[in-house]
Amino acid sequence: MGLLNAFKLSLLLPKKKAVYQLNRVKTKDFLLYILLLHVLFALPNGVSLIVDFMKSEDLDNTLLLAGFLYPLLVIMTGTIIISLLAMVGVLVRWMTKRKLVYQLLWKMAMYACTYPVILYVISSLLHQTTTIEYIGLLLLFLIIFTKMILTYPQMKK
Amino acid sequence: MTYVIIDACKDEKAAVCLDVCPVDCIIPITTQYIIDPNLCIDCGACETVCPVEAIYHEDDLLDEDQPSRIMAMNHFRS
Repeated sequence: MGLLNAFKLSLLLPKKKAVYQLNRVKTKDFLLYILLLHVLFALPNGVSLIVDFMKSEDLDNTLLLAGFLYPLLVIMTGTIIISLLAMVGVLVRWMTKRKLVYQLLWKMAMYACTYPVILYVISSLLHQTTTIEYIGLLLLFLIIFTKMILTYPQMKK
Repeated sequence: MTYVIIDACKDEKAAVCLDVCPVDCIIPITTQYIIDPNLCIDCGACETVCPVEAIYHEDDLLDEDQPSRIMAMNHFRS
């Protein structure tokens, strides 16, 4: 229930009420949400990997790749990407004079990824995602993320 | 509407909430930390970081924790 609620609230971003409500999502549900987003993110490549696996002669290596290495790579890549995007938040925080700790920015970056990831999955399943589309997704993320940061009041001197 | 720190904070005083509060509305008193209801923006950033689950939204408070809310209100009234 908490996971579904987090997803619904993420779709309402960057509304102020949704930003604040997402802060109240329990850690367990937040971790499940990370997993959900990673699964979504891995879906397009995962599908082609499974298709390749069906056709493959070298089953042992493909099984290792599909069953272990690929999920591990997705989790590592996803975590690094979100951490880097949260670093952008540190810059926005400094420019807009907000007091937001990195752990909160990390959570916000995670939720702000919802729309870009959904659009990436749709785009990848339909056709090969182009560089322009990747830039568009990054811009969409930055707009949502910056608006989320701006919902917080400026620091008092 | 605001958040309230209940007396579970008395035994811990971990102060993690101080770091995450974006408007610095949490202050220490002799026994525990309390939230200034006039400054709190209701963002909930403090709620999930509290290691002893001592922070609740006003609407979710149990009857037995109402004295904590009244204490905070009285503290900042003067």
